[in-house]
Amino acid sequence: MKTDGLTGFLDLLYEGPNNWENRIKKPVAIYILWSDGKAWNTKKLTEMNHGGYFRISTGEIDPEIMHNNLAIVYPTFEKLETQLSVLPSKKIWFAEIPAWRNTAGFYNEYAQVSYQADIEPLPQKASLLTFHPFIQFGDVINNLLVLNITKSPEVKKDSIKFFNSYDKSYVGEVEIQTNTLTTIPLDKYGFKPTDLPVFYSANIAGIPFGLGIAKSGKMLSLEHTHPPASLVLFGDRRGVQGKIKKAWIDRLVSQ
Amino acid sequence: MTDIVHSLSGVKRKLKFGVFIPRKITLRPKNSKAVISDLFPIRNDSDWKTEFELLNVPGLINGNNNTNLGQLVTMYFFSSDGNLLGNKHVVMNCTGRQTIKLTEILSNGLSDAKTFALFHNYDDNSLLNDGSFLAERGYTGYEYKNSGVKGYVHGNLDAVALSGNQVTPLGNSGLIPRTYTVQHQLLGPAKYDFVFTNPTSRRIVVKPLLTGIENNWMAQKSFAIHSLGTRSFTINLEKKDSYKIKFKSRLYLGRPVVFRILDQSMDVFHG
Repeated sequence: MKTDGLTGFLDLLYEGPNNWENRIKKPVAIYILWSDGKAWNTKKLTEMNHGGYFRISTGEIDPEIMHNNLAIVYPTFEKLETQLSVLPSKKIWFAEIPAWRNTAGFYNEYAQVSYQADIEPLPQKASLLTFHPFIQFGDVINNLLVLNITKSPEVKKDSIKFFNSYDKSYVGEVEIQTNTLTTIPLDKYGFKPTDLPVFYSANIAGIPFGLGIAKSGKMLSLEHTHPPASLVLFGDRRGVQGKIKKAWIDRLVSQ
Repeated sequence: MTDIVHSLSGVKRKLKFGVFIPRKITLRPKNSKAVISDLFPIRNDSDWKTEFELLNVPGLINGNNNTNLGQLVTMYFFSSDGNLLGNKHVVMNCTGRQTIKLTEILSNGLSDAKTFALFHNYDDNSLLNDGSFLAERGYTGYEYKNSGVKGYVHGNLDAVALSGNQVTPLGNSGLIPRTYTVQHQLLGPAKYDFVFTNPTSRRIVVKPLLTGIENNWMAQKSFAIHSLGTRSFTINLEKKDSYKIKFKSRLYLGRPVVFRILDQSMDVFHG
């Protein structure tokens, strides 16, 4: 992931999260994949042995690869063609309890911030509704990052709309893209400490992050919001998510 | 012959874990009107402040947070040994977001609190589909050395349920220890704090294991966590140090909250 003023990094660890699910130990090839809008381009970065560690940062990647501020790193036993029409689907580093992840984030000369990263391609057409309690106040720059990856390499544009969740007022909208990391400065919208923004995109799903940067640069903050299903446990969580999204979308777009 | 040995070994492993470790990480509350919360760590000393972003979760579920529904919450505070120290009712203002500053409310017997759970006053799970329960798994913000910027982390263990006035652990544990490998290479210079909470009804012993690049896992000193208690494991790394860490325990999901501290900054994330 790439955003202005910071270096993006991904730390790969070839070590599964638990001792009973996926016990692969064969060497894997590590590829970087990026979309040019027509195909997924691939390039082999390295090979990793079980127990190994490998860091890649945006400072070392060809700017052409990062032109959508996003590239995917994919472990595989197979040799990939240099261009693919869809993302490969075979999962090598895979576990469920918990998910097999790695560490992705940003750093500058003073600080580093990260989250536990893994991503499945999002549906080609899906909506996004999320609540964002991460805006900080004082000497902080607040950004919203929207990460989207789809199986298809197509780079499609649409908008994400901002509302105030409490009074349902429309605040603004910004263009986002598929297969892209979009950075959206939030401070100009004037949200207050007691406001809970809600972000809605009708046609592009995504993983939204709050990125806070101290104006001194000496502290960074990164966390992703969660889909509405995270508000409940057990039962038909997907069904509950559908109900929550419908209720909110009906209220927001009927304003 | 090697294939047969591998195959038998695989069957043995699957049997072992299939028999002894069913996959219910979180126990379902017995009372259908229960509400669920994570057990959130508190860091409250001269270097740290803890805040919680309170949202009207019942309102969010029902499609409108501009409502009286869900404005009352109760916070339960626990000591490091899991003893209930007390509770506090909080009335949410007529706002979308209310930042609770733990430092300001931890007095009168709560100053030793090391974790909290937050329950929404919501006993109508019939509004949800097919037996779902409302769960507070929200965002705790930690500020280090008055930096003016909080690092946020969301709840990652669905730890406790409230039914009536009774707080019940929901975490599961088994007979055979499991290991959880933190999906993060520990890199120096930095100090790492791994903060565990125990969401089960039993005392849990956690054994940390550490390795450098040679993959020679070395056991570190074990520690015990009482039910609903919390303990931290700390490691200080020098420049050029590079380690992996895993934790062995009977917890079905022994994931800590990880703090990586460097000079005046820190990074917090769930394992």
